[in-house]
Amino acid sequence: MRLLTFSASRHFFRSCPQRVPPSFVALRQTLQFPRHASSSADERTLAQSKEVLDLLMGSESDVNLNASSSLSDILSDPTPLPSTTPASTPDASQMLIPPASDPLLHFLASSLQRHGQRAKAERIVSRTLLYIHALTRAPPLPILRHALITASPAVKCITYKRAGKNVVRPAALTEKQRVRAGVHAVIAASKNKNGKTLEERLAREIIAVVNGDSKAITDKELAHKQAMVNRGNALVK
Amino acid sequence: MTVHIAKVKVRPRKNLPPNVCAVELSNMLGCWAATGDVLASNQCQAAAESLFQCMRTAPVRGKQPRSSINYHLARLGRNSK
Repeated sequence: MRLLTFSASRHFFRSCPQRVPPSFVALRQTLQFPRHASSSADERTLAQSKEVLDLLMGSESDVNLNASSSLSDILSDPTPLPSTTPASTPDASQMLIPPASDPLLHFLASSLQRHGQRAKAERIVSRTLLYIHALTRAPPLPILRHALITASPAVKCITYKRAGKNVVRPAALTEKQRVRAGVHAVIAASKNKNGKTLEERLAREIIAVVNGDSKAITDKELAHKQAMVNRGNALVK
Repeated sequence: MTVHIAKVKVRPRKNLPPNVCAVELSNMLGCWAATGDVLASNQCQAAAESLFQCMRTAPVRGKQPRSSINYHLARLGRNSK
């Protein structure tokens, strides 16, 4: 049997197949993450993982990033799985190997890590997920994913001086840059939340982001508006 | 009497990151301006998705090399004195 590795670093917003139970799949992401030119083996893995995820989770459209979306949108039941297998089935002799850890959770732990204390950061992440579940009675990982996508800006504004004036130029962000900006925005905004521990505050902030009521979203909107106003400078070299 | 400048140096220009996916970016920004959907949740979601897909697959362009104008100025200034 051929073993295919699920390239962990390339799937931030794609949930690991074994971690998301099939019943809560409204947030199935179709985003993929190959930043650099991917090899043919990686492309095959991606294509087949997509098919496997399709089979597991049913066909869901992209996430609706409506700012006013409530939890009920995330937790709505998915469409029923198709009874007949699709035309292109994954090869039975190939097995998809999931990564050791969810790349998004790994990145979140890295962002929370201080002084090399990895285990403490991972404990915070686990407890944050537990708090989200306790507050919402729903699987926490899709909620976290949705929150981080909603809080992540798509562009950033670079200011430089030209002919004595400050020129603002909008530039697109890569997926990793977007995720990092979103994670940092959520962590910074969580300071204003109630809660004795960081995990409780972070969980409340994540739920607030999903409900559309967060400083992270307000800041993202401001950044996007500034980029929109200066869109004339985007093509200037 | 010739002017003597001890150290001839200019402030080098800021090296901006290369403009990858410029077309998709300007499409998305134009969509935002037209619809006001700055969070890319309804009308501009497709434009945003195409930009994200482009950024995922665009070739990695390294940083621009820094300008060596100050090196040349120092070298020529040294010779002319």
